[in-house]
Amino acid sequence: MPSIKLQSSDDEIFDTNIEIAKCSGTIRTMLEDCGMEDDENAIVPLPNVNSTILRKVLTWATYHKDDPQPTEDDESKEKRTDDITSWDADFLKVDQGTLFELILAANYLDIKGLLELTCKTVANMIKGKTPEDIRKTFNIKKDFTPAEEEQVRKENEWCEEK
Amino acid sequence: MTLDDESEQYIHQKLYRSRGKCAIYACQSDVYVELKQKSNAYARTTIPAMAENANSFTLDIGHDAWFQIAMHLDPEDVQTFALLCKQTAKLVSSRVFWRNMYKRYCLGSTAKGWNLELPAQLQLEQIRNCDTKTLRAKVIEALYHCYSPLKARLELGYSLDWLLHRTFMSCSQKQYQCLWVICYALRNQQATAPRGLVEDGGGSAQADNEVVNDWEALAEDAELSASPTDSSYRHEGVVLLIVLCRQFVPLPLQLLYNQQQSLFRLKATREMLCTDMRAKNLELDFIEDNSSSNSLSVTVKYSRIEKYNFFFWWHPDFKRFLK
Repeated sequence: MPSIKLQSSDDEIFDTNIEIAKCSGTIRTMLEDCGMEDDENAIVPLPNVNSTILRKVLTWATYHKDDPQPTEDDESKEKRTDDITSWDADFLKVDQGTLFELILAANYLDIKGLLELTCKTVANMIKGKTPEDIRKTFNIKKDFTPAEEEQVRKENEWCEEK
Repeated sequence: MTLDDESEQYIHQKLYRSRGKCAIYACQSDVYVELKQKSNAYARTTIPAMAENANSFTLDIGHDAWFQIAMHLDPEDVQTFALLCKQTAKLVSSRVFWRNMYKRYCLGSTAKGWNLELPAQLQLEQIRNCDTKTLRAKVIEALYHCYSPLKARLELGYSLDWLLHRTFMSCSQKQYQCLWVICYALRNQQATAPRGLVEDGGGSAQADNEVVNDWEALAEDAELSASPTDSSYRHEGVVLLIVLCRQFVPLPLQLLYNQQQSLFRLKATREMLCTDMRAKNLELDFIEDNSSSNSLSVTVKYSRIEKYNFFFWWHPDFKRFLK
């Protein structure tokens, strides 16, 4: 089975099945555009992903290797935030730092399935909570003045439920 | 003055006046460097302060991560997300956010993206070239037409408390068969909609008459701006209170004629059962919006009302009553 070497930002090399690596749009484009597919010694540098995150990404990609590629139509469909499988839910039982790094890695590597999954997970963490609760959960600093906060609240009162 | 004196004076003047981190005094026999005193404003963070900062761990969630999360939000979570921090509030005001929201929840399945649940003015073709604020307002309107959790809220209705603290804009009444239809327009205090909206749209006319000096900017803006009929943004923050009443009640003139001097806020509402328990009375308390203790207060009483309802600017029937 042909393989490809992926190099993380901390210089760790991951010898990966080429089909699994190709679930990333970024890697697929690099392989195709640079003609690296036939070169077994070629190393694909991924300077924006460290080894811990790349390992997680490859674990996810291996599990989902047989999933159909999302089409343009799928992307525009209404996204549900409650259809996460139990394997994916377990996979994402990580600290918040890792979760956000996974979002960035999925975006950089152009892996739509993983990006959707990680974003849905955060969207679910937001659902039903107050802004104060969410700030505590994610250690976000509140940088609004009271007037600014009131302005934002009023601008978005259309989605308030009373 | 000797040559030595002259050169020493020259060197002293030349180097003493030069700019830099150091003031340098140069003499033929003695050259030394003296550090300039820095003001406290530029002082570096002290070690205890640095240690304190290191202890208070804050997750640095970059713009890209927030952006991706914003693209996956459900409409009902937008306010909560916007209220997290300035970064998220800014994202929620962006054009790309509203285009994405429309694409996910309002786009129809036909080749041109037509959604049969939406009126013509909210179809993709009509909103494509709106400015960002109008686009936002139109997408919100469209969501209330076709996103089921929000549609369900309209069916449940809102409580009268939603009207409190809103500013009086205008009031009109009309006789329809044997009923009097009274229409109050109220708005959020911080909303940007102009006054006199219901009656004549005077704010818009004023904006149209503004003198523009930068013709290039005007030409560019003309390409982006929506057609003159696009008025969603003008209505943002406005709510219409419609009261149906069998008895004629004069319009509250104090509210209508005092608008130039002061604004009135809706302070309280009371919905009370009549003594015969067969109808209801509605009372609206308006108070002058200033900090002085002798604020003018106006109470409007509607007895034996048939019905009342109110329509926020995002309600599908809002524009029908506006007419």
